[in-house]
Amino acid sequence: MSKFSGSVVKVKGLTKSYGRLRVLNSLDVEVSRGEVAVIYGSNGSGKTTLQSIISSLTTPDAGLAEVCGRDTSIRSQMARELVGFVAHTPFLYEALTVKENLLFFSRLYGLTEGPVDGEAFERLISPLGLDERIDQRIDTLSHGYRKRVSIARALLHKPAVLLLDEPESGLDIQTVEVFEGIISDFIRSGGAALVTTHSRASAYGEKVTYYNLEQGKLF
Amino acid sequence: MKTYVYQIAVIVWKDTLLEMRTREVVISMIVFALLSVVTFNFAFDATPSMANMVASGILWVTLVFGAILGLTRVFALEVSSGGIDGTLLSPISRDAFFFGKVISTLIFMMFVEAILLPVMVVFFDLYFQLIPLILVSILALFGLALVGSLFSAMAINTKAREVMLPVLYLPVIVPVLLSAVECTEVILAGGGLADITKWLSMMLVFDATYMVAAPFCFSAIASE
Repeated sequence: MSKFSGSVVKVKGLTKSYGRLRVLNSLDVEVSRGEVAVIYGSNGSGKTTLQSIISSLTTPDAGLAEVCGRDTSIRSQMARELVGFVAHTPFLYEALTVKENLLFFSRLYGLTEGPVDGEAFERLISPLGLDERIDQRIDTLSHGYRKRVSIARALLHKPAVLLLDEPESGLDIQTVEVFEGIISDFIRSGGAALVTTHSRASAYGEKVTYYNLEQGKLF
Repeated sequence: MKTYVYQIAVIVWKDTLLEMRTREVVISMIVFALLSVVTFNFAFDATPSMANMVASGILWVTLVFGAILGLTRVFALEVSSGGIDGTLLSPISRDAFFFGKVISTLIFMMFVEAILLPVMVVFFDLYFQLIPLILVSILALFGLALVGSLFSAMAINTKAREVMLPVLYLPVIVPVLLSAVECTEVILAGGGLADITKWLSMMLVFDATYMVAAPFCFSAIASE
C-alpha cells in the first residue's frame, strides 16, 4: 500500500459531458487514508462516471483527478497501480477459472512471485470464501461469488484506494456482511475508499463522509 | 522493455487459454476456410497450369474472409464479460495490450493457414518452396492482424459491428492483400525470395506504418 501522506484521492473542478448532457459539473472531493467517502444519488447522476475517471477508464473534459498525487489522465499508468475498482460487472473473464483470472490480473500488476500459491493469496481469498471455488469457471458462479472474486481482483495488488460502485446491489445479507468486513479491514489498514450507492446506510467504520451528487455537483 | 514484453506475453497467454475454452475464433475460421477451398476446387476443376494461377488468390481471399469471421469475436469476448475493463484498469500500457491482441490474432490466423495449406496442396496439386511462403505468410498475416485488431476494437461498440468491420477493414488491407497474392503466385510458379523483393518491401512498409499508427489509434479508442 502507498505511504503517500496527502489526500489519496483528490478531485478538483472535474467536468464531464456526454454530448450535450453535463454529468459532472466542476466537482471537488478529497479522500484521505483511513477515510470512506460515500456518494449517493439517483440513477444517471454521474456516480459511475466519477469513479471511471478516478480509475483512468474515462478521461475528463476539464479538471483534475489525482490518486496519491498522480494525475489519472497524464500519469494514468502510474495512477492505475494504486486503484482497485469493484463495479457492477465483475471485470473478469467468464470462460476462465477463479484461479486463472486472479493469476492473469496478478501478472498484469507485476506480482510475479507465487501470486496464487503463497500465504498472502490465501489470506486474500479465505475471508471471501473462495477456497472451495478456486478451480470453478466464472460463468458457473452466482452473482454473489462473482462479486467476491471481483473484490479479490481489486485487492490483489494492495491498492491505496478502493472504488466501489453500488457494492451491495444484488447481494444476500451474508455476502454483504463479508463484504463490509473486508472493506472495514482495508480502511483500518490505511486504505481509502470511495463508495457510490443509492442509500446512505453503510457499515464501513467511523470515518465516513456522506455526499449527495446532484446536477453534477456534491452537496 | 522486459516488463513490456512480459505484459504482451501475459495477454497472449490469456487469449490462448480463452480460445482453448471457447473455440469461438479459430473454429469459425477453419470451417469457413475449408468450405471455401472445397467449393473453389469443384468450381474451377483446375488444370496444373491454371492451379498455380488461381491458388494464390483462393488462399488469401479465403484467409481474409475467414479472418473477418474471427476478428468479430476477438474483442467481443473481451467486452461481453467486462474483462477488457479489468485489463484496462491494470497498469498495462494500452499499446502492450494492443500488441498482445495482435499476436494472439496472428497465432490464430497462422494456425488456420497451417491447416488450410496442406488441403490446398492436395486439391490443387501444388509444389513450392516452403521457406519463402512462410516468410510471406508471416508478413502478410501480421499486417492483417494489426489492422484487423484495430478495426475490431473500433467496431465493437457499434450496433452493426458485423457489417462495420468488413466495411472498414477490406479497403485498408488492399495493399497487403495484393502483395501477398502476387508473392504467393510467384512462389507457386517456382520463384524464390529474389523474385518477390518488390512485393515484400511493400508488405514491410505496410506493416511498419500500421505498427506505429494502430497502437496510437487504439490508445485513443481505449480511453473512451
